[in-house]
Amino acid sequence: MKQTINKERYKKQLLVPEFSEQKQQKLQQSTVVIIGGGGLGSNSANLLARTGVGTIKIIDDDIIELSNLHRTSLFTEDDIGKTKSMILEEKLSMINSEITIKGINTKADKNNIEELVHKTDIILDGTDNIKTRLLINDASVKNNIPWVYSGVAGTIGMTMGIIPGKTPCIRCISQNISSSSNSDQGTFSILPSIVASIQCMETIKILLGEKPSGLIIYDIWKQCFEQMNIQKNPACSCCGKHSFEFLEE
Amino acid sequence: MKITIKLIGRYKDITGKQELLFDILSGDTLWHAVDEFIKRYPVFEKDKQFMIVTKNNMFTNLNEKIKEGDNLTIAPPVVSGG
Repeated sequence: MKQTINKERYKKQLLVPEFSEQKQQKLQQSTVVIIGGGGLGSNSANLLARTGVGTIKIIDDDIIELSNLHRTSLFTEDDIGKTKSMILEEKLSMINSEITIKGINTKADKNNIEELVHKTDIILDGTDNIKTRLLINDASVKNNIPWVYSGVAGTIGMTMGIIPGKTPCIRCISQNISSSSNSDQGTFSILPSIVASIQCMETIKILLGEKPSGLIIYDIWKQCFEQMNIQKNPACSCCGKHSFEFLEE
Repeated sequence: MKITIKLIGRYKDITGKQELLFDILSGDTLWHAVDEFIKRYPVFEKDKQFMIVTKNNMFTNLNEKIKEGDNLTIAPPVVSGG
């Protein structure tokens, strides 16, 4: 169903040669699920709401803590102790009332993830642990839904857009993935917003039918980007052999 | 035979090198290349099991043998914080 877009709201991005009214319309008709509403997820939700993605669902059961404020842009001291997903729904609805924002106060796990991502066009990774990422990867490949991995640690961020059947999945690129999280080495405050920006750009490209840019590695301290165009691994247990062990374990 | 390994991210920054040249014997596997890298730069020992190692732009089992002309790349592990 065609929905009318507010050209005044988006007039600056409609002037960009790579973009168009048809592409804005396509974003308006898209649904994204963001798993995790912290440093990465809240920044990505903010950017996608402002860009005009029509339906944004944010899944998180955490509450806002003082230690979240340094790397997030929407939470304030008044929000401490409140639920991340609900605060994001409230604030993003005030930023763009022409789209649908839904906060879902739950934790994605193997029992509910397929239901949570049902009928979504793309999944965004806003998690802080590898176990949930591997679960997202399994749900993505099994249900043929693209997802955009992003991770941050220290001063380094990584992003990779994954389209099942077309690009490598997260398990194509490493035989073992460390379970350490940002709690081990911290995250510099500015990093998540930059990596979220890269993640959102990859998300928008995929929603518009364009090819993602491979594994992108960014070092905020060195201001250095690198890109690896890794190919799909035919022997990958997930996307090659369709074994979804993290959904089944 | 000599083989060149391209370094990515902090491996490049910390070593100060874009590429490393290794002596590889016929029949050596990707593990050998990883071991040689760690031997030269023990600071990366903790990454050993988790490095992203590609051969000709494809992640491959590290037990696979290296052939002359293969393009190898070693990148730091996937980061997992949010």
